[in-house]
Amino acid sequence: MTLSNKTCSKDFEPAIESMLNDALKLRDLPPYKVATTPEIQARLEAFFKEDPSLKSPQVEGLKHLGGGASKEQYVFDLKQEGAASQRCVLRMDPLESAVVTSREREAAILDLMQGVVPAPKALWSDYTGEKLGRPAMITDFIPGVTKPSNSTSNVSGFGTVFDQPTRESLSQSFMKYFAAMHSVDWRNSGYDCFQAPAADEYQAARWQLNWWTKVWHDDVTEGYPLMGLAERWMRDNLPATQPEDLVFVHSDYRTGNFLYNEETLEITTILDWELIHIGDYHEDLAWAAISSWSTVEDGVLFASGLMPLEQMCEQYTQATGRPINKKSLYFYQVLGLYKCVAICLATSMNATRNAHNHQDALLSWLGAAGYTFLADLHTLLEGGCPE
Amino acid sequence: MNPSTELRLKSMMRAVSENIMPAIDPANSIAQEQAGLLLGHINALIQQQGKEPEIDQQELEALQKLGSALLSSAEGGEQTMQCITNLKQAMEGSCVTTLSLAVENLIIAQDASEAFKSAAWQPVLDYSGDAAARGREWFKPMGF
Repeated sequence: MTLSNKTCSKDFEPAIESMLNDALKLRDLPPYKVATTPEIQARLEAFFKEDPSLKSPQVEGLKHLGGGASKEQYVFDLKQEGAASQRCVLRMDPLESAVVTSREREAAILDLMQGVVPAPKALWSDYTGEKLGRPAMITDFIPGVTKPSNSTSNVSGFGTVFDQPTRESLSQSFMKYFAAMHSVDWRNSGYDCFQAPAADEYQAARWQLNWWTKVWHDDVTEGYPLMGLAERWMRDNLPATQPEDLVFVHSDYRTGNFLYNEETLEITTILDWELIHIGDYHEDLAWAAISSWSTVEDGVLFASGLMPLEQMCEQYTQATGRPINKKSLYFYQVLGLYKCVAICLATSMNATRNAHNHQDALLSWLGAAGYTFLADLHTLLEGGCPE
Repeated sequence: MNPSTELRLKSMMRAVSENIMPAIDPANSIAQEQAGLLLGHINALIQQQGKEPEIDQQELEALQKLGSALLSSAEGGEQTMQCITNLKQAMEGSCVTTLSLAVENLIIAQDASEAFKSAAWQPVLDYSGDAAARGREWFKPMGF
């Protein structure tokens, strides 16, 4: 393989390239008008009436949910003749948000994860937005909390602290589901919306690098030399991934993205699968340990506020048999922080500038977090890759 | 000027916290959350008001210093040479956005020499440590 092929900046997962280019076409549209609750209700009822399996469907108790920096979310009860009421969640794309993702891929992975890990069930979808106004997916509703209900923290799970019993119980579930999620066979998934980076051993890392550098360069509103340095370093240091080490990477598996029951201290569901792709397993481990959703005790970083990263890696290896390559882990730590900066300081700012989101005030708040991620990225690059 | 910007911002905070928030349906979580964010934004604005030109000037000077350091060692192929030209032009102006993008583009130029890549590493890290600290300090009122 030539050096130029190995580092080629034009090599993308086809579905991702197409998704990102489609998003660019929305840029010049006028500001996003948030639909009123009665408008959403009318769309939902019209949508359900077209489903012949439902008898006299009615939407009740529709509420616009807060939380989340990406998709518009509503909760409602679907009632129909002769059946129990079903609580559902509508996840809908605003014109632009913190990340560009595909409802089709999200619904596909939710289907694949049924019976493997606790995950919402995708019940209905409208990938084009023809019927519901915007691309959308409807899932079942699963109760639980993302953080102790008596605690305070910043947006999106940042700064969540668990007490010792909660941490111990959640750690067990977290690692059990980590291994289970990575055990799903992507080769026989039956879904063609995912492509595998199997052309060469560097393609897994290259596809991720190209995905996120494209996001950064498409959305950037102000330059950051450190982002250039990180891109340069990553392009020069792509780690190899063998085909047997490719897994479905959740890409946002962390505290804040699972719900748990405060009485049983069990994880009830894993959320936010929208960045799913086939890639290197180190990527999810590196992501779980990003400082903003981790805690530091006696100078030790507890990944996702659950356990030291080293312990998380050991438990992962015990459960899956996959060894940890420190250079790969470091690469994906750099990539993870690069993604966070791109999300906060480029995509979110762009969506806010264009008034294309339903909660611009949240996205402009999130922008401030970009400097924390930049500081972490600086520390990581200054420390250097482990030998 | 009377009323001052600070006074107006503080009066907005009171309006949000004492009139608007109590009137929001407690079950309307997105409206509750948005109102809370407004309070947070206004509170941060009170602490930052009047200081933005100063921090922008610091950023401009730091970028100009980095730009000069990079230009002193930049070398490479056609793309790098174009980035050098663009950076020199940006250095003549005072637009932080143009300058920051020109600096970043030079760093990622794919045909940059290995000697330049090596020489650029420490100046970019030095600048970035200060810039990230400046950004974090500026946005400290937002709790990150």
